[in-house]
Amino acid sequence: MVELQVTTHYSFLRGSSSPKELFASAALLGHTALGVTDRNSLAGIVQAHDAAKATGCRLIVGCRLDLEDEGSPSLLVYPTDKAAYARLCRMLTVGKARVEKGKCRLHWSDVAEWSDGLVLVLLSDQPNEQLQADLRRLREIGGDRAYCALTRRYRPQDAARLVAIEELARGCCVPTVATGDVLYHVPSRRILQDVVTAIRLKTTVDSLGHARERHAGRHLVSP
Amino acid sequence: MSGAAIAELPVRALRLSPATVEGLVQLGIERVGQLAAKSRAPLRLRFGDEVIRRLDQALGHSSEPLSYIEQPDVPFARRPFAEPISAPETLQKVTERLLTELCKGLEERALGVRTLDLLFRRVDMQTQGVRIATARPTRTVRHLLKLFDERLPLVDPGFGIDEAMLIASRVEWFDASQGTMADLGGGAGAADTSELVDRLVVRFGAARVFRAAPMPSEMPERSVRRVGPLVQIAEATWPESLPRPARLLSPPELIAVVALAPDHPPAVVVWRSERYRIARADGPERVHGEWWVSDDEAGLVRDYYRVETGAGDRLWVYRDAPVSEGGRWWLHGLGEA
Repeated sequence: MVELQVTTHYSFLRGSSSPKELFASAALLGHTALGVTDRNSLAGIVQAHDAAKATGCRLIVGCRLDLEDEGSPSLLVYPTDKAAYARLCRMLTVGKARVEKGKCRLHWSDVAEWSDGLVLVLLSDQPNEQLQADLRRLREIGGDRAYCALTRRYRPQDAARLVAIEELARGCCVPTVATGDVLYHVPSRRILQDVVTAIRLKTTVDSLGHARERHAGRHLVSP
Repeated sequence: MSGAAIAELPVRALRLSPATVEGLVQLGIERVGQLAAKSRAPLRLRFGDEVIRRLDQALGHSSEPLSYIEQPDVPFARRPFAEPISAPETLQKVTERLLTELCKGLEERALGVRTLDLLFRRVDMQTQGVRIATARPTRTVRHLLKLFDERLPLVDPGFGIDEAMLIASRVEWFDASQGTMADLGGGAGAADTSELVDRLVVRFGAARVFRAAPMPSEMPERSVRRVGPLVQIAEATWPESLPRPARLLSPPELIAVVALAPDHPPAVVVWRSERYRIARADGPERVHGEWWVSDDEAGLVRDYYRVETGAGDRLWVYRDAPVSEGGRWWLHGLGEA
């Protein structure tokens, strides 16, 4: 079992642990590989590469793309070779050049243009028509390199939600993979995570309420 | 001349702005006497008119119109009696007359009462009083009289009462001489509950009449708060994706549970020596302690399961830690969720 969705603090105000901390914890827990996927950025990859070499836990290079299409779908992409990595970098550059600093504007059409050699994993939230449309699109673009992510949220009706998503994905001929959506390396880092979320939403921790990253398991767990 | 009396006061006493005071202090002018001794033209140049004007006002060289604080006019009605009264019916009749008189006065001034004090002066010069409060401003005699009816039995007339006085100690602007169309129709959609609230408060006490409002809190114990009975609850609503049971047990009760696997929902629940076989279950919903409320909650993790017994009863149970760490099971809620 490999954790494919890890957000480091290079996703500004989203993740709260450094690649070093994440890889150290992963090695202690017995992970053999870690997929680092920051938001619209590969900035954490260098540090992650160093950390991977130091800990012996393999790095899976990846990135999370937040698309600005209807329903704002998010994709995890993993380049399979150097050329695909170059194309991914190119796509991010194009996306960032379109808007002001710190943001990135990408669409399905960009993914289609640069997706050669990328493994695509669509993140799922609710099993609805939007997801079905996104899955069809993903299948068109990615072919047999397209997957749908299943992530436990620890909310009511979670099992039923995952079953429904899996059925939808199967209907679209998209296989499923499990991701953990990791934001920090140890449970005690949740405090910093809450503070960071409050800063991002420009509110106080007290009034964060249901906007917090409350569904748990956002720390690394043993495989 | 008369400057000596205030010469030793700090310049702050002249009601100057903080920036001006600081500027003066930087120049070494700390007392009013020092300021008065300075020549005026450089002061005016540097600080504007403010310093000179305040100094003149303090010394009486220039006049300053003051607005006076006015004593608020408290509406009241009073009635002395030729013969001392004591019968309960008479007290009620007197109250009604006082109320009629007071409410007429209030109507002319477009006021409604929020707090009313009814005072009875007894022949032995002692005073007995009762107080009522209303949730909204009102001047309906019938309604106010009903509220006093609850309290009048508390009045001890002793050897008789000389004088009765009704004071509207808190009034608010209230203009309702003309009813709305909804009143005329008779079938107003949202019934005005304020009169009912007043009567319940008078009978049971203000602390026992309240509404429950949702709070966006992680901990189920804190997800509800009490608000005033007439407060409109609009801003915070509970998300539908987080169903909660109809009743929360406070505190939760320890239960014994049999689960098929460590991470599975309960298969059998034993609560108060009663055995419940679980037919269906959903979960876990993971809830974290709110570390900013209390240090004890920093590491707190609960896994909540909604379970349904064979007989159809819904229970809301949680495990306070993973099984491997010796987590115990608790029953936290009952009823449909």
